[in-house]
Amino acid sequence: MTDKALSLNELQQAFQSAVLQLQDTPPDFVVDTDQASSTVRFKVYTDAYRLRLIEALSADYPALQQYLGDEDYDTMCRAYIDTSPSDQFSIRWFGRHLNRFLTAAQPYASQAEVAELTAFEWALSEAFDAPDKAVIDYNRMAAIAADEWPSLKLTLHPSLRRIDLQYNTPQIWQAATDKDPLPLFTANPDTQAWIIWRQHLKLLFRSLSVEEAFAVDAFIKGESFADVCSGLCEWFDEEQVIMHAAGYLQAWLRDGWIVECRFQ
Amino acid sequence: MSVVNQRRNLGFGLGLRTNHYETILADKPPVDWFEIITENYLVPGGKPLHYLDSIRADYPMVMHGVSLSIGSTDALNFDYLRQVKALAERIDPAWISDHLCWTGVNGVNLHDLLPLPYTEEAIRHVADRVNTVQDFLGRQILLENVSSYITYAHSEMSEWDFLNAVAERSDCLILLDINNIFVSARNHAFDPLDYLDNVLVNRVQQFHIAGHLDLEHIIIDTHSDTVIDSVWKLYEAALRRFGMISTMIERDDNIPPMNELLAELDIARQITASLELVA
Ligand SMILES: [Fe+2]
Repeated sequence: MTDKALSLNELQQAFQSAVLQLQDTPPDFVVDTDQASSTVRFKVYTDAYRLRLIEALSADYPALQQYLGDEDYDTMCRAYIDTSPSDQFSIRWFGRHLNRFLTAAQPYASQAEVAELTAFEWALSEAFDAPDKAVIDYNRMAAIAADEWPSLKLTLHPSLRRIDLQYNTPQIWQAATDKDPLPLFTANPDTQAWIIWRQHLKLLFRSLSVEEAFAVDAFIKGESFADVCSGLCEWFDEEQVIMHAAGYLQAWLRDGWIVECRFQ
Repeated sequence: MSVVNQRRNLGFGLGLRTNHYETILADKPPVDWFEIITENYLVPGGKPLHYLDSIRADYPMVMHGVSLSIGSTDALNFDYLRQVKALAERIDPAWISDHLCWTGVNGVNLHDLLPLPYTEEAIRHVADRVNTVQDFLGRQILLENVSSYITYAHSEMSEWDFLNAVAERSDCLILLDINNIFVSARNHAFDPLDYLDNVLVNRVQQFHIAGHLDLEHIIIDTHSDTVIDSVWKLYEAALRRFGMISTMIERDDNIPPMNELLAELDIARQITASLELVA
């Protein structure tokens, strides 16, 4: 029996929970027709809800999809969808908690490479449409006076994502992107530092040495050139530190990472 | 022949889709205007906004949103509306549209265009909110009739009466989706011409046409295929009633090369030309 006094809010609450909870029977305010039962009709919405979100995830995680295979990927997506209803106006952000989900939920929590691939792909997707910002060139740095250098601080491009990887994840991602068979995941002996960024609309990534990673991280934290140089003394002789630091800055200018020089 | 709709006519348009970006910039295809999915460009930067600005330099545009959720009993999302307004300032669209539907409640977004019950309560609720949105954006908006797969037991009127009432009471305009009328007519066993013949002529500002997936017992509005003959016939009937209205073909899945969509757009042009409508 249907309730004539059903309010709009009550209808929406009942409709939504039936979709989210994949209810077998539709809410009783859904009418049968001669062509299709209310169950068949309502199922269009419960199915479409999941298919649309799976499609959105596939746009952000193509390599993960290829790695898991269609069937396992579908199962994984449905598990994520059921724990993480979207609270954003844009479907673009729906996948942002996937890494957190895979780190906590079995069986994925015991496959560290799955979470790592997810983190890598999400960092790429963030770099893709991060804010635009003009970068500075060599001339700007050449114009820095000798007595300004110690206090130099850097603002890096908003698309820059700095991540640490345990596996050959970028290699897996590259193979998936090139539609090649995926190599096996292999763990590195040590954590490898990587940077993902966007330059001239192109997504790029490269690995960093331990020393360069230290320098980038220090500048990201807001430390000055003098601080970074003294920190680098852990790896280099004092006379050579400035030369190494200058080498990093040159590479970062080339790669389009620096948007501003600040002094205090 | 009655030509009573005096609204601005943009001609024949297509949806702006990422796989056509390069072709559009290189070949400048004969499309009169593009419709963008608003949310795809509510991002901080990068390719989406770069291509949007470049293509906007060559083509008129309209903004078509999917997240307004005008029928939801949640509060309106002003963070979203502020971003829509900022994008409108950036690209100066001919108009802004969304759907006569709801998309979620309790802060959840189901990312689907869900049907409303056709009740006096829903009309009042939606019309109030359209007024608020139009005040905030400083312009009239268009609301589109959605495809639906269910009917509610407590609906009190036809879909077209509901659509008209919302438009009249909030002084908003209508984006009439001809394919959605066809889909809903089959799913709810009504005559699509009854729908067309009852929509207020002076409220209609834009048409959508599209393909769908026919499962016999139900039709799903997939935008994944070419427009079928019956929908073209309905389009012709719509032109006869409403006059020349800005027309746009929606394709969201199995997106073909630009040339195929241009050929489909030419069918719309030919039908219109054969009717000798005054634009
Ligand atoms: Fe439409």
